[in-house]
Amino acid sequence: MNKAKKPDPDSDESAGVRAEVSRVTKTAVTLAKLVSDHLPFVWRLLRRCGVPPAEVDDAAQRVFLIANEKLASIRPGSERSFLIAVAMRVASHARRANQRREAAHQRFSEYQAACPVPDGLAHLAEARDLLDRVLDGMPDDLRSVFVLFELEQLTISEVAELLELPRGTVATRLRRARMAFQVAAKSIEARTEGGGQ
Amino acid sequence: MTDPKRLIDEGSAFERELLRAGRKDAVSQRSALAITAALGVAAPIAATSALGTAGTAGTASAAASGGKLVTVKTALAIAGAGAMGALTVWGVIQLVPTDAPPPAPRVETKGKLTAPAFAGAKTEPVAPVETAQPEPAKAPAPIARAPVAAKTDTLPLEFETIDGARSALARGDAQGALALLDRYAKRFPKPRLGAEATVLRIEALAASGRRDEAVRLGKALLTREPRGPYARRVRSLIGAEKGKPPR
Repeated sequence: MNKAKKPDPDSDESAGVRAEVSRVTKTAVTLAKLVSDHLPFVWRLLRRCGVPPAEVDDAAQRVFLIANEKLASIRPGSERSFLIAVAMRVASHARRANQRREAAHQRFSEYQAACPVPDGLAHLAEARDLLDRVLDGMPDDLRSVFVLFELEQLTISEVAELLELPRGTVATRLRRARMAFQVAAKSIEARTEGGGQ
Repeated sequence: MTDPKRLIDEGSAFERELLRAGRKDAVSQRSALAITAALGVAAPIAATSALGTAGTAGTASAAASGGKLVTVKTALAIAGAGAMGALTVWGVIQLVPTDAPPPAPRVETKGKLTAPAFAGAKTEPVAPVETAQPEPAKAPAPIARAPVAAKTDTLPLEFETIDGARSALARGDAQGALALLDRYAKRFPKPRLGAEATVLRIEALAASGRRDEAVRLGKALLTREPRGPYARRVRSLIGAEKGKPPR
């Protein structure tokens, strides 16, 4: 019977192995923490920014892959901001890839004309679907501000910093986005009250 | 200039309902498992009991045994080619109990990350990585959705149960965690996450005031695996000193 050769734990080679493993696993631990802390938020942000349900898992994976490549440059404490910025870009790319942007207004109009509205919005999924369709009807620049302020509850200053826009521009976009949202919501609600059609 | 009040607080009832639905949207556990597995970070285990110790301790322990050395070598080989590849291996290291034989390797698609372990059918295991060096990943591997899993593969189910116990413990429900761990022990007589289950049980016992049982269990584990990936954590939990054999 062959005896398995046991490595000498005190040898230089073993020390090198341990050091290398330590370095690699340190990176892994950092990424694991990033995922553990921020995955739910990143996933939700991607969905509300227009990434289709069938693609959102891949998009979330992409966000963290990018983050992994940039781990060294992410300042401690600014992980969330970094991920938001990456997620917005990934979502934008996903929308373009699917030509959602061009079709959004048309789909929303078609939806308003043809799709029955669920009674009383009994199910969260239905409410979410309506929300997404309302958001789909917004131009991207309004949508991102609206999602970050109204859904992710960032302040206007935080949104301005993240999107690298003047605070006044963000405030203006937010006003326009809220107006668009309220008009669309009223339209749907009126149809709900009018018999669901 | 102050920010306006948010519509989720002051909008119409209908507007609030839409926005709350959006706020409540959450990644499903299945998606989370698929994403973390695809990234090579075994979140549920790694994020808690193993995270702090499994890195060096786990791999160092692996280096001490012939069977695990292959895994470590693989990690190192891949580390040279790309961090994500190594992360994948790291995830595998987390999920392979130290007392279990390594699962049969699968051929990995060159240049892609390991396919997510729990994609689609909830029954796909974390696939171990071939020793071939993958290229650094530039784009995420699409998350596999085909429900192709061996009927005998229980790892995803084990994973869910262990994660449930961990979550129960995290919210202070030690009794709930112990109940889940009892169920786990009955359901999986040949567990692949046995070490993780034992460590969680030690934590749950200690948290529920059953310290003597926790210490007994911890010492038994340390006797079996004095250099195992959880040894440091168990010593910390039961107050044992390193280097001294448990009495």
